[in-house]
Amino acid sequence: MVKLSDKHFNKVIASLKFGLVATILIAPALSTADQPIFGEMPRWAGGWGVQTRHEARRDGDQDSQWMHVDGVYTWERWIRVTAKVPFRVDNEVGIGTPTLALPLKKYFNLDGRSGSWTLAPHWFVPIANPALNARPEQVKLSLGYETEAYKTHVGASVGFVKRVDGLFATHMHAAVGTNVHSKTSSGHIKIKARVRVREDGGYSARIGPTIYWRFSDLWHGQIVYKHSVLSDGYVPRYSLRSGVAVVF
Amino acid sequence: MKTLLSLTLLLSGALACATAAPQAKAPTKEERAAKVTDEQRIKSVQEELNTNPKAVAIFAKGMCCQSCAIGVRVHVASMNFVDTKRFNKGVKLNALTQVVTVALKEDAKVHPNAIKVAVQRAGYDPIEMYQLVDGQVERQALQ
Repeated sequence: MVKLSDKHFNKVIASLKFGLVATILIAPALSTADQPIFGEMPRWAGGWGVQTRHEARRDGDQDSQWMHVDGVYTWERWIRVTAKVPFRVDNEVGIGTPTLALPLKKYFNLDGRSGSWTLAPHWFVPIANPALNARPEQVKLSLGYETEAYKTHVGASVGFVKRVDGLFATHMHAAVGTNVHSKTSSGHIKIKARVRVREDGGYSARIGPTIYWRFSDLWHGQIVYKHSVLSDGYVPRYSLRSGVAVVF
Repeated sequence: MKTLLSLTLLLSGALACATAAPQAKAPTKEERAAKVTDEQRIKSVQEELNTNPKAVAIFAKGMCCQSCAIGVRVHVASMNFVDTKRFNKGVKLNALTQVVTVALKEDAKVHPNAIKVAVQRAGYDPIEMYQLVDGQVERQALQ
């Protein structure tokens, strides 16, 4: 039996209270966990894919360039494993903090609408050099919901984070958008928002558009811009990501 | 912190309205246009099978996103009675009607249970299979 000290017990209680409030706030919304491939695929058993994205990022007054290589394998529609590995590729070259996740999904199909509930534990592998913007997260458990019709997509998720500095935080994602269909292909345009709130009161919010297009069943492309609109205790971040994915 | 709270509430409220709308209100013109009735689906199937008689069609409930539905093509195209030289690997996806049209090889016999499993493994619920019999669409339940 693990015994918690008063300090840790109070931290857990504070985090649970905070998480409960955050969940109540976000629960009416619906959202998407930020997962490969571009938050879309593969939902079929045995499906897998790899995406690579370039990111131009500004943190405060510091610019950096990153390449992200993400992979996913879906065993059955209810379970998949994802891995994300960032590499810094400007003057400072090195690996960032890789993220491993095991999203568990409960899909539902309605006439004209489909969606899923997601429970996803994440592990942030601590191998990055702190000078290369190593991520502060250690582990995260996220809960998400998304639903999609022929023309619309809405999703939201909330993640409870334990950081390497011992603090707890809550991450919230929300996305709303429209699907675009052509004769031979399809895509979507979404507005995505991300809010992070730390136990010590620090917070940040970023929002921006996402454009995705399916060039073929194999090739997919995406462009994402996120603009910092609020931050206190976090360095304001502005980022532009663009990349391609292959899905099998 | 107040600003953050306001933003979160605003975002939650906006999304709640967006998601609650289809259940709480009458469908908008756009939603009516996007939602296909059974009659419209059968009409679309009839037209498709008239054009491609050596094929069957399946109503895959929930298949309203072409990117997510790639798995239908992956799983259905792997069956030996599918003519992968026609359509796109033998499979045509219609996200509006949620109908999958499967090209059949000459003299091949379709296996409804195999199609049912393939659609399920792709993440959707197969409801009915449609074939052209004497020029009319014949339904066969897959559930």
